[in-house]
Amino acid sequence: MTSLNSSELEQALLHKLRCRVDEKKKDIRYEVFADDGRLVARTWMSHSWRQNTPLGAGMLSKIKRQLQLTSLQDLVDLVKCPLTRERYFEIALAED
Amino acid sequence: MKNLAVAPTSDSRLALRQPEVVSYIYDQSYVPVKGSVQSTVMPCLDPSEGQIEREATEAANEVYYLYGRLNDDLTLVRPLRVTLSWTPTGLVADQEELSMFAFGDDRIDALVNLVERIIEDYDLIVRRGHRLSPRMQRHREFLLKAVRSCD
Repeated sequence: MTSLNSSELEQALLHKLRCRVDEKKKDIRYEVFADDGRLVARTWMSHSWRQNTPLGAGMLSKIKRQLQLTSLQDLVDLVKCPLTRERYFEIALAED
Repeated sequence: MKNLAVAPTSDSRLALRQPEVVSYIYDQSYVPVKGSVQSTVMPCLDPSEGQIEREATEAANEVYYLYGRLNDDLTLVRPLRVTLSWTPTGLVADQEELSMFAFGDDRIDALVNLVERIIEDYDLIVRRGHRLSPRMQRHREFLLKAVRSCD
């Protein structure tokens, strides 16, 4: 069963995707920009999620959609490392 | 003052408490005088039946439609379908077309947070003038069709 926790996801957003973070709102917004400056995606995490809050398949599916990924496995691979930053942008920037 | 109308749908299996919800929205000033609320639902359940409802809602999602003004500047062009679901991480309001979801402690909290997210998204994607990826460009076009600025 697909499962990640909030801390793992946050680390990937901050360090692999180098998101800009806006914490001023009720929830934390992460903005993903490509190296050429284009906005590629945005997603949110709840302030109420404590470290290691488990994120089930339903929530991961919503986050996957916001990150412009095509499969849950891509999201898991993004977080768990097999999917590189470069590969992420290939997927997220692809024309459908 | 926000002008948000929340209309329960006929296909919501658990719409029995919707009049209470609508009343709560009024109390929170989210629906001003000009706002419209459509409700086809039955009167509230007795509070003692809350547990029954709670157990039932955990097993099923609820469907709402958002329409009307989002804030002083933005108005929804057409109703947006929202699904409320209970997840292990809390209550989530999801609008699939906008690829948008928000959390909440209760229904109203989740729906209001979702509205705030849509406003936030419009600001980020339409107003700030960022260069956009092809998919975000399409998302921008969808946002412009769904949300109208009063500017």
